[in-house]
Formats: sequence, C-alpha cells, structure tokens
Amino acid sequence: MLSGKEELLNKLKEAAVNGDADEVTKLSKKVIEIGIDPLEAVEKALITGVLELGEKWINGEAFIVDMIAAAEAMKAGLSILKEEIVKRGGSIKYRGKIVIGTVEGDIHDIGKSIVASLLEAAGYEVIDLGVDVPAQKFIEAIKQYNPDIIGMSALMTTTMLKQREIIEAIKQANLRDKVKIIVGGAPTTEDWAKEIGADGWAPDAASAVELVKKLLK
Amino acid sequence: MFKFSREQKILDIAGVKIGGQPGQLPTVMIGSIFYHKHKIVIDEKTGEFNEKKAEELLMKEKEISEKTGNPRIVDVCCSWPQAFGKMIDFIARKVDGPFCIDGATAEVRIAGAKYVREVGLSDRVIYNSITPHTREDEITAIRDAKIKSAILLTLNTRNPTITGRIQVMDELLAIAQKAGIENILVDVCVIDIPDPGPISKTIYLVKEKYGLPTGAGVHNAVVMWKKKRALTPENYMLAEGVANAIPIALGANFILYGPIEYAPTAYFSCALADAYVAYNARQEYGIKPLTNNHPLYRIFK
Repeated sequence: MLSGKEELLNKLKEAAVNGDADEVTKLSKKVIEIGIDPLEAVEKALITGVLELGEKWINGEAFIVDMIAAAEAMKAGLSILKEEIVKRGGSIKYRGKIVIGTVEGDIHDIGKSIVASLLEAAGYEVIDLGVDVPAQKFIEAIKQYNPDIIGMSALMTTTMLKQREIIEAIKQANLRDKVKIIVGGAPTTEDWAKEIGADGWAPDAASAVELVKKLLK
Repeated sequence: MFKFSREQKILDIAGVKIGGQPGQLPTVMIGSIFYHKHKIVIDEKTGEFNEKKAEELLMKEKEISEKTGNPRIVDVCCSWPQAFGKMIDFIARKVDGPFCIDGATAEVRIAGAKYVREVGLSDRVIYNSITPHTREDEITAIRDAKIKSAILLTLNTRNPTITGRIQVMDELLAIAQKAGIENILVDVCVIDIPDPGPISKTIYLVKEKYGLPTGAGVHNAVVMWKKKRALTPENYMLAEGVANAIPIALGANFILYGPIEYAPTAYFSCALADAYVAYNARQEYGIKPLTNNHPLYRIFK
C-alpha cells in the first residue's frame, strides 16, 4: 500500500504528465503544507513525469501539444516548489542548462518557443532570451548562467548569417570552449552548422531535443 | 453531415468567392510558389527565378483548377525584402484575381505591402498572415498599403489546442481591425503531425462562432510526418489526400495545399471531398452549390 507521501507524489507526477497546471499548482502547495521535501517532489514527480512523457513523445505516443502542456504544468509546480527548495538551501538537478534565442534581426518565435518547451518538458533548464537577440546578449547569458548549450534559431536566409557572427563573437570573448552551440531554423542545414563551427544542427523541434541529449551524454 | 447554425460570410476577393455553408462553394486552393528552396528560384536574395518554369507551373495549376472547379489563389512566398517586387510583378501579370503575399518575416511582408501599394495592387492582395505576435510597424504597413484582405493565423504557442486556437481569435480580430482588414480568412494553424484532426474541429468551431471563411495548411502536418518517419510515395500521397479531405468534411473553405507542384493530387482530393459534402448538403438540407462550376458537377464526369 502506498504511503500518503507516495500517493501525493504519484498524483503530482500524473498531473504533470497530463499537463494539468491547476492540479500541479494545488498538489505542489500540498507538498509544502504537509512537509514533504520539495526537492524530492520536483525530482520524483515533476521531472520523472516529464521524462516519461518525453520517451512517449520520441516513440510517437505523445505529441507536441502534450509536451507543451506538461512543460507549462511543470513550470507552475516549479514556481511554488523552487522557492521552498531555495529556503532549505537546496537546488534542482536538471539534465542540463540551455540558453536559447532567435538571432538578431529575426523575430520568429514559434519554432524557438516550441523547442524551449520541449526541452523543459524533457527535464532541461531553459533560459529563453526571446527573439531578435544580439551576440552581446548571448555572451552575457553565457557569463551569467554558465549554460551547457547555446541554441540559436534563425528563420531567414538573411538572419542565419547572424548565427556565424554570434559564434565568432563568442570565440572573440574567449567563451567558445565553455559551451556547446547548436543551430536550427528553416534555412539552416547540417553543412551550414559545420561551416560556421556549431556543434550540432537540428531540422525540427523533436530532433533538437535528441541532439541536446546526445551532446550532453 | 451538418450545416452551421450561424450565418456564413461569403467574401468576394478580386473575383474569387470564398466561404459559406458546406456544399455552397468549392474549396479555394492556395498553393505556394517561390518558397524557400523552390527549384525554380535561381537567387532567393535578388528574386531571380526561371520564368518559363514558373509560368508552366501556373498554367498547369490553372488547367487543373478549371477542370475541378476549385478556384485558386497563388501564395507568393519570399525570404528577402528586395526580392519581393520582382515575384509579385510576375504573379500579378500571369494570374487573374487575388494572390497572397507571404514573407518569411515581418520585414519581408512589410516590403511586400509597401510594394503592392506603390504599384496599385493592394486590392488583389491577401496578406499572409496576421498572428497574435504581429507588431505595430507591420500593422501600420498593412493599413498604409490599404490592403483589405488577410489570413489570420490562430497561433497559440503556449496552448496549441482547439481551445487555445479559439482563444486567440478575438485578439486576432482586433489586430485585423486595426490594420484596416475587411476580408478576413482564418487559418487554424497546423503545428504537429496529427493536427489535421483537431484543426478540423477548430475550423468547425470558428465558423460556428464567427461565420468567417476558415481553412488550414494541412500539408505541413504530412510533411512533418514524412521527415520523421519514412512514408512510401503512395502512402505519402494518400496521407495528403486524407489530410485535405477531413477539414473539408468539417466545413473548411480553403486549403493551403503546399508547393504548387502538388496541384494535381491536391485538387483531386479536395474536389472529391467537396463533391461528397455538396451532395450531402443537397440531400439533407436542400443546399445547392452556388455555382455550376462546383466539383459536384465536374469530378464524376
């Protein structure tokens, strides 16, 4: 028979997998109320839940909408549990930290936002710099967040050239060996990624998650 | 099948009629030309393309359109602002009626809007597209260009469900009004492989609530599938046909069918779906096609 704690964590996990942000919020508050370790709740319920969902997604048993809903539900839970974790002097163990953004001159948001949500849902910490992001902002983000990977999206043949410029700027700032860099977006190709010295390229959101997993193995 | 309880708008955009109850009008077919990596484009940056091949594609589509009775609207895609004028000029000369201007980014679309204003083509243009993220400068450019027709894209990146898509409709209508748009088409925004199911229901709900001509680019879903899992050519074409037919069964008024090269199969599947829907509408509700050019009277010949 499950203990009250196990039952609550199972429910929390199920709510995260179902993308039920309201239920996750309610159960996360309950976790704190009854004194369960919030870090344990994040790792055993939220992250485990979304990882299981991620596997289903890779196997074609879950879809983008499920992953986005799970990521939103996880965010709702984290916003409550994180505060308590910090109060207790702890921190969450993510699978890795990714800084992501659409390059300067390009305001295309859809693909980048879907990739960000899918990475969050796959258990990564994602810092989304938004759209129209200049090289300097990527450099500041590397210094500030110390990410494992920088992800750059560009939708236009004009703005994909910025991916090269940003990689060059990161090199100039002596930060290139501190991060892996991946690129994506409609006009980009694997050859382009190689040509500009990126560590990887993904043709779509699903492949981006696979690529990140591979690079951080 | 069904008819909508709400009155359905029928728009006349530069001679092409679109909208209405199921069975009234043929599905309008929107195919893309000069899209990224289109083989007929020689230089995307300058807008140089093979005119002969472009003309052949347009002629072929016109013939198919005349055969099935489904009107066509060409979607002129472009990635570079300076290239748009050349492409727009060509399409405006070679095609009768309306055409879409479809830039990869706001900057390109704005360049297209300015160009059509300069050359006096605004009346023939459908702006593709306005989203909830459309910025002020783009809204101003559409208004200044006096473009009166646009596709509104129900993009909701945080909630790409049926509910999420409907949720952004009021916001989109407010943006369209600000941009001076009078002829509104709604694209219910496909983002995932199985989306032809839920977007079809979204089409039904948008039409039931707003009465506006509505459709989708279901081709994108099939292409995503093809990229992820190898589909045989036969299954790929069948998948395109099924994906095109389901939204039509739920009331779609237009289908963005992808590259113009796909016209032969796309028109065939949509025309057949139109004929089935129209035959039901006639039997069940006494709704007859509003044109003798309807696929119901053509495809079975």
